[in-house]
Amino acid sequence: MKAAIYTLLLLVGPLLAGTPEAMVLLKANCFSCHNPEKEKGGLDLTTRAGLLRGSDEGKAIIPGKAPASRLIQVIQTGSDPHMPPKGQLTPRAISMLENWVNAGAPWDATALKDKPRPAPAKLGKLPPSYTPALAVTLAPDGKRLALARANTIFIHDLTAKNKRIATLTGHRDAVQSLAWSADGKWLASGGYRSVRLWNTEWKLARELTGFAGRVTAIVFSPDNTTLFTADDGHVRTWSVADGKPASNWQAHQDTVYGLALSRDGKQIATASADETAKVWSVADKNATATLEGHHGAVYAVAFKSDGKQLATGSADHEMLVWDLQSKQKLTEVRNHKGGVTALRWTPDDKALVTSCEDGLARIFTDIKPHDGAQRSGTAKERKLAGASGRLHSIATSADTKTVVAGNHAGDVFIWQNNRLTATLKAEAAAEPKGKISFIKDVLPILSKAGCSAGSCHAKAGGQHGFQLSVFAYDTHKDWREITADAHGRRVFPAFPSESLIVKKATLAMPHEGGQRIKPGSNSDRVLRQWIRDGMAYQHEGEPLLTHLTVEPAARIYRMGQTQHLKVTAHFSNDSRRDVTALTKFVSNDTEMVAVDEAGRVTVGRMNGEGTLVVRYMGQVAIARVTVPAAKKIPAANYAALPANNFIDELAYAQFQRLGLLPSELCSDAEFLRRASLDTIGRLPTVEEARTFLDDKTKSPAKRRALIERLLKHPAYGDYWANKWADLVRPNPDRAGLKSVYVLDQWLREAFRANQPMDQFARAMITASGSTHRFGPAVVYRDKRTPDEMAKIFSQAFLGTRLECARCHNHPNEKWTQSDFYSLAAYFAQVKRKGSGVSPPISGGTEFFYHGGSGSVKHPVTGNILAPKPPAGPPAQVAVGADPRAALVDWIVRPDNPFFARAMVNRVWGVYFGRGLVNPVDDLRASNPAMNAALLDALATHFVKIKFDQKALIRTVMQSRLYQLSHTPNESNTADTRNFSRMYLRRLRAEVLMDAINDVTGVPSSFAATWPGARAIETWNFKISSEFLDAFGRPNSSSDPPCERNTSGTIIQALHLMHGDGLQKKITHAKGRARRLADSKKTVAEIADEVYLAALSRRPTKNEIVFVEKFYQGHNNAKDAEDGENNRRTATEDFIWAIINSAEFVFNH
Amino acid sequence: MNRRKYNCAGMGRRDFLQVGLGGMMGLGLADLLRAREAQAGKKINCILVWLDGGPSHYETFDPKPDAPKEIRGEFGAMKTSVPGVSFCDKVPHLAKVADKVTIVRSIWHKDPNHGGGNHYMMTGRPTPVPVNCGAFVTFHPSFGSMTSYERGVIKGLPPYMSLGRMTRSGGPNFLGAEHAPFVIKADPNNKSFKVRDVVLPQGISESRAENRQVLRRELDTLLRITDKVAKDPAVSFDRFNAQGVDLITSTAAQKAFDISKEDDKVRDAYGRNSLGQRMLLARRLTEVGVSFVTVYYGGWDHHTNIFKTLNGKFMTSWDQGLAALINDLDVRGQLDDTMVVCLGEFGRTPKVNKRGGRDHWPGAMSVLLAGAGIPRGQIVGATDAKGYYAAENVYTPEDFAASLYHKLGIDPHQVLHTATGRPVQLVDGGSRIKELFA
Repeated sequence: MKAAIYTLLLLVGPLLAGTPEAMVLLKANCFSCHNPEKEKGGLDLTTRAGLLRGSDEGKAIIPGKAPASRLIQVIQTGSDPHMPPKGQLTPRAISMLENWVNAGAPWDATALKDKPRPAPAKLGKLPPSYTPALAVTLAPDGKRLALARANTIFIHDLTAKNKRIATLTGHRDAVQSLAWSADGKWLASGGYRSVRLWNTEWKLARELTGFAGRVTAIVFSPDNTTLFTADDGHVRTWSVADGKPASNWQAHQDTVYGLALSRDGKQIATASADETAKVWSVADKNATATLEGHHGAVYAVAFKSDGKQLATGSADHEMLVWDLQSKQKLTEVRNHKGGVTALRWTPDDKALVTSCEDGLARIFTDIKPHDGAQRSGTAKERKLAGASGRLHSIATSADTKTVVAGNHAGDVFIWQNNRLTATLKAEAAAEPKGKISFIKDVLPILSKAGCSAGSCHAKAGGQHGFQLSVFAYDTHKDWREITADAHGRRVFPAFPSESLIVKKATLAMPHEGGQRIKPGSNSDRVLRQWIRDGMAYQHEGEPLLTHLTVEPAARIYRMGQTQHLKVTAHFSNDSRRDVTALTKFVSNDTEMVAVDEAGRVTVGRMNGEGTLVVRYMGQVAIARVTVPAAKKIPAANYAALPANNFIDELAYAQFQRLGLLPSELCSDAEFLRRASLDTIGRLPTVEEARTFLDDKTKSPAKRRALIERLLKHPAYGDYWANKWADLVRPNPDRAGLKSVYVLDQWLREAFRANQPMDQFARAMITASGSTHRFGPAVVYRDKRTPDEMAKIFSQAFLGTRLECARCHNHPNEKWTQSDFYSLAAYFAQVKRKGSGVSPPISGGTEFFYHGGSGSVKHPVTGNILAPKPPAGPPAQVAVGADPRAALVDWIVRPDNPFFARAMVNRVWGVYFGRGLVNPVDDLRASNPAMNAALLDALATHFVKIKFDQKALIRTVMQSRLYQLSHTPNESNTADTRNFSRMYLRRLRAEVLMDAINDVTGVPSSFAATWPGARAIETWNFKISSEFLDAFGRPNSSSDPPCERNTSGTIIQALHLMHGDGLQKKITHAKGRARRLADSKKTVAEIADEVYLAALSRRPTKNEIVFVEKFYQGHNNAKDAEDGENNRRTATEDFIWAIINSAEFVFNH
Repeated sequence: MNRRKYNCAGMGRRDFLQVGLGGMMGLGLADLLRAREAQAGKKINCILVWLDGGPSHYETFDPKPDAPKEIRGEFGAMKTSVPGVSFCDKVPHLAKVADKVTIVRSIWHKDPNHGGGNHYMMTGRPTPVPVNCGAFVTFHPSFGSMTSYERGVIKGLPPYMSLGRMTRSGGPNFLGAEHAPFVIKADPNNKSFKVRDVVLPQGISESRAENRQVLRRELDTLLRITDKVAKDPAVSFDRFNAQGVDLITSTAAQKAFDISKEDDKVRDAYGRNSLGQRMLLARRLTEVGVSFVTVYYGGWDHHTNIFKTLNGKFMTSWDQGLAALINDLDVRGQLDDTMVVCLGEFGRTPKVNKRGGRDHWPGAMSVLLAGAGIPRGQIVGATDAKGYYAAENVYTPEDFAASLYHKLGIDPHQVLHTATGRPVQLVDGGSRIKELFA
């Protein structure tokens, strides 16, 4: 009875638990990674045993307990880690899986079976524009040529002016492979699920069927009795005599692109997309060698005549020659600039002939194995001139005199004795049909689907051999990659649904990236129709995208409100299109406002302003979000606020808009400390502090006087030079110590003299001369190419980060690669002589000068670019003039949109701990200033005062905004970006170190500096200091140079608390602690001095009482090990405690 | 930014998930921390011994006694504790522990420069531009920094330490200074050895240190804005201070740093030299919960006189120390929870050059791995007959990196974001070296 019930349960259980659905979900979302092959995370979910076994991290499921099952946990929204990694299951799917686990996770293998994919009964017609020559072959006598062009095979007589003598039709899909039997009696052609054998009368003698897919390679046995074919990963053998299959085996798990037989017919080699080549014994089908070493699909294999060496060609641009016995790589040939699609040994073994995706056919001779002392062997390269396009195939005649290659357009090139003698052009190729184009329709779909994300197919090297350009900056390359790469295997124009790109994206076959396009969706249909139409790149006269608009472009929101954005693309013919569904949305500040994939905006719980960036096909637009405080503050409150200058007025206007009220004015003591640290990087001395605090002058005048004193202080130059060194100082390991020193000294002098910033920029950018005499030349010693120069100077003086555009169009800005390289063109004529860099010493001197010639090319198009500023008209450079001077002329023009803004923003960043634009050197439309009116006004002011930095600083410091307290009021606690209160800033490493030295009264000593040098005077980061390392100084070996990290670390805390260095300074015989302890001062007096030295203020009554108690406690301590002088230890501990307080470590 | 957010107690989102909502409501903070430790206890800690300069695969784990003299060099091969497996005859101690380790002989790459090779093997990512040999570059977080980023501070200990010095590319790059290694430069073989900053300075007793803390807390009256949205840096300052105090008051941690407490016999077994004692210190540190310890051992760039150098102390210190580390971990039953990895940036040229040295050769290298469930007594892959190239079961640095991360419980294919928001995959491609997970 029990057994019967159990059986019944077994039968109906799966149905009750929704098993088939759960199985399908598992398969669709998990199997692509968690299968026995990949076992991601050590997990195989394709069997119930594997599911129960789990991984080393534990069981994947506990049958009956969904909430406790890891598999169920990781698929929930917001879980970390999250599965599937690139998507989120729907709530329905999640509950289905939960029910299934709760029901005991019954397994139903039948639900997992692939529904047998019916062979397409009838392939559609190939689009007439699709004519790739995927295969060419020469008859053994070298007189006749067979070439495939799409699904037609043409036979040409090379002895009769290449006359066409036959046209063979019948294949529906493009012919993938061709082979001629050694006796010349048979020509075999391979297509989709079919091989055709043609006789000498060009009649179809037999058709071989029973293949799983496209027949990608064919070879005849030397005795002409057997045919070897490859389809998917299978190799099959056939009897030529009757067309019957003889044997077959799975040679690889992925496509076999190439086959080769050894001359004795005993070995067969296979080249596969799985990145290996294998050699098999023909007799028993056992693999005798697996050759690993390519980093991309292996396209081609060829035996040397003795069968002991094998050449392989791969998508990784390399050709390798292997010794089959030792499996040793004998020669690496790296001349190819694209995938090596086919290769042949000449029968005399003297040469290798290759075809390449870079459009060149090559002959390599003198192929020598490497000698073990250097890495690659050598081979002499000879390029066969005259071919073009992407070469798919190559053939050579037995006498090696004739070479034939075919390209993707269907052109076939014939060389005789290394000279191009004929080009058999494809008949005037038809234009692709329809209106769908790659640029206008397909690429937006792929971009939105995330295919060209930096972590997917756009990463260096692509993903599984399929590579797209980042943010689609190289649209031509992307188009070729899809339509022509990998022998065209990604598309199947005769049956678009079978195209790899469609099947992967819709998850009709396993795809690690999961389902990116819903089957049957509009995107799916567009993609398939585009393939069917012939895969146009762009139709003639197609309107071009000019710009985007987004609605609403600016709006005032309530907290928590939502809104749908609408994005419209505008084209050159004035047409428009709603592209919201294909647009990428990004929020600059997700805490303020979030936006989802569909463009739905959700405002957070903070008041302030936020920016949303919308991006579509290289164009960018922004939507501004303003969120006022929920509680309205009466206008009168703002009217009553005192304003010292225009900074305050503009800030208050913003506060009013957002419902913020500024904090109170800070105390005089706070201002003293803050102003000193920000202007000269030093604490006021005890005397200075005392004098200032005791000065009875009323505040505004008193503070103004202080500002003037500070601006005249000689340390001003050191402090600012230290900041600029972060931006331009090279790694001394690379540029040389002397050079780095010379630059450092130049910077200090420039700021000491308050060189106007336009002159400063001119000196840096137009630098000429010796790196041992003129500091700015040193920057050129380090940045040696026009693009590196463009990058550093645009960041330093334009406040823009163009480096993104070096490799791809800027994702959040209109900057294109053209913009970047046009800027680089200003530096194309910088020349150098003398001893170059020779790391790690670089001792010699080098001279830089305007050389009068030189140009910069666009990396994708190869066009020479004229110097042109970003967002400006092309430069007028007089013949013979240094283009760099023209660049500076443009930069310092009063109406330059970047320079003044970048300079004032940098100063703002120093005085407020955060730029109006943040990060300070990332000015762009999609990263607007927190208060654009204020930034504009400051820039105008800076132009008016002739780029005088000290004058600018005076204005900033005199503003009430700079003098606000750190303490928030009811309205501005959450304000971290509008400057309605002063934000805390940790002292930068050098300043903190000097401050500690000043408080303890014990200087540090540094290598390579004079005795008594302060930390701010160290001139390169290799001057050893554990302290400076712990608190962070920029390491110019890091690229891109990192911003200083001011976030705390435990290492810093430890160093401050227990560092030997600090302890030694505190206990130093000549230090402040000892002097105070040994003096006659009362504890209150000691406290007074320490507070003034460290915190620029006097202790409060409470603090004095507490310190006195502490000293008392020391005196009473019976077991104090330092018993003989408790006053000393108490003073040491007191100074230690002050130095370890937040009030000391932060500027507030 | 896709950075993990920590709350004041230094707990990540993941901890809350693991502890569960019930835990949050029913347990105090101490219980939570205990739960966290229990969780952390299960994790694998790693000791990475870095042979800077690029050790020869011939003179270590992949001798080729049958190759011609100009390739096989001056040393012979010796049998190991694994039947059929030979090492170079200058590593007798390691030959004895061969039955406890896996040697992968088939990792290779293409960067023959120290700068680039270091970066590739220390981060799993090649440099995006070719770099000079002398270069110290960082473009990507190192294994140690990433481990620190993922695990955070456990029991107040810096999660990533580097003994001797920091390796060239061993830094955090865009993960930020918080995840830089804590470097212990001092030589634990010195009698006066003390770990800087994590033990109290000379003359400061524990009670005095405690008094100082009390005083500091009392005097440090700067306003803290506790509202989270204010992101007050003084609040995280307090957090790091508290962690620092934890470390000083944790006896387990303090004991670990005091290498003089180690049994003399054990110290002798590791060898009384800087390297040996650093490996011992590394063991003591992982024992108390440091997640990742790098032991730096430079000087492997043998362009000249390789056989003379490797026939002396330089080699024996390494052979003895590393073997002792593996044995010691094994005897203590810690090998399953600790992973030991030893490698350099590449192998060396097959042909001995005119100066009696071997030059840079990234075509093949041998990597030693032990512990963390890695099978014992295994050789993975092979070079060709003469040792030119990795030829069987060939793996890339990406595969190596993915394996290491997997063992450490870190998803190697997660996407991180740089300071400028650029998405970067931790390891580009690469799949686990299956033999390490058998």
